Amino acid sequence: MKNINCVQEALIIVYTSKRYFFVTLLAALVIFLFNTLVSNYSLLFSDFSFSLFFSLLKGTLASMTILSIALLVIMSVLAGVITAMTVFLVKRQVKGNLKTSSSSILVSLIAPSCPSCAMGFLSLLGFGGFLAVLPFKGLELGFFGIGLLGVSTVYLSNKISIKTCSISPKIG
Amino acid sequence: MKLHHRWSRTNLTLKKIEVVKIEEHKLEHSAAELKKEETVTFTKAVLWKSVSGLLGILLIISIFTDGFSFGNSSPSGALVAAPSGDVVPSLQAPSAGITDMKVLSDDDPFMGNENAAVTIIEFSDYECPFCVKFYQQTLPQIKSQYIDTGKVKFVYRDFPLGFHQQAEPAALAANCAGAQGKYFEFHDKIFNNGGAAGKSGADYKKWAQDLKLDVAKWEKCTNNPAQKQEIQKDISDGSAAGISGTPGFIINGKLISGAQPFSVFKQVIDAELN
Repeated sequence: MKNINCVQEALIIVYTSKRYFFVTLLAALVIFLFNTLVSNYSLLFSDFSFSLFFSLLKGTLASMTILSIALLVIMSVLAGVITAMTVFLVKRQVKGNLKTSSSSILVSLIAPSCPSCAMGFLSLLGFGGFLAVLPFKGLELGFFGIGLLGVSTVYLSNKISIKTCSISPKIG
Repeated sequence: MKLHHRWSRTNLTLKKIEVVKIEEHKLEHSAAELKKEETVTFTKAVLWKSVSGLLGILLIISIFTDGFSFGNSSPSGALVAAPSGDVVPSLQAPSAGITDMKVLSDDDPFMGNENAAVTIIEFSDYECPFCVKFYQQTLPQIKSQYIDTGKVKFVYRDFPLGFHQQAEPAALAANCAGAQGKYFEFHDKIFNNGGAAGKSGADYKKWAQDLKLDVAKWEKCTNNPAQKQEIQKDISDGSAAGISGTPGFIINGKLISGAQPFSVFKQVIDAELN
């Protein structure tokens, strides 16, 4: 309950400024597009056109299950929120957050992977076999990722909603 | 006047003392700066940031250079061989002009003009629902607009995924139908019945009978180890070409992953034809 209140408070603090909505949206979009288009990156780079871009996006989404898409959207939004919180904290010069934020955002890159349809970053890296061994064929990673992003959100919220500067134990 | 003179002198002395003190401070400051220049301190945070940044840059470079292969293309366009029987995913996706399509096509069944300007190689799994989707929604359009008009040669190669129990038996059944000259008839039978999911040997046998194959010969063929080796070769070649899931396509060296809509294929094929 305390954590939820903390997160709520942090979100109010961060999103008081409209620019963080933009940061969240941009980061979420980047993560979402990365996960949907990464398996066809070579084609996109060699023959780029906007029609190809949108066709690939449409085709990839049509190849994903509803659950995969839902997990991906949630992860993208959470990654966007974490990015906005990180930017906020960096601007406030609160140290020690980049590790948590970066690792969480990297987790969102693995996303729900579907080994049979080669979607997702892990399949591209050749971990399709590993995903095939998992009971839910990679979807567990989506839930795991969301869990980790949730923990990071709470951690960053604690940093944002804190109203004092901590005294380093080394001083005095 | 005397007072003023004394005050002035006192004032001058005070000023002198101030000047001396300022200069002493400057000396100390310079000494401190000199000392600073002699030592360099790295905090853990700086070190971590630098390493993360460097790894991030390396990752980006590896993506753009297909895994740090700077101009490493064999003139003959030979594929990187993978050990037979192992699926060895490769980061080296083929790019235009590097992959030898004749080598990649192997001796697998094909539709259309053998000498067509564009070759599409599909790596597919009979139990994969997205392969069924491609067959039902996209392949008919490719067939009518490009294959039947002689512009495209369409090659089918097997890529059964390990967790699809019926994928390999279905592939064996189709290959053995192909040995009797009816590969694509059997291939269509499988996909028209929703793929190999939920099917069994009895279904494949019934379809073999429907297609008027020599069933005894067909059954013997499906138990031939050479047929399994053929499928393993397809998997190895596909993995080496960058296929990491099904359906996967190589169109004149360009990799397309997933059951993409016809518009994607149209753009790529038209670009190759032009």
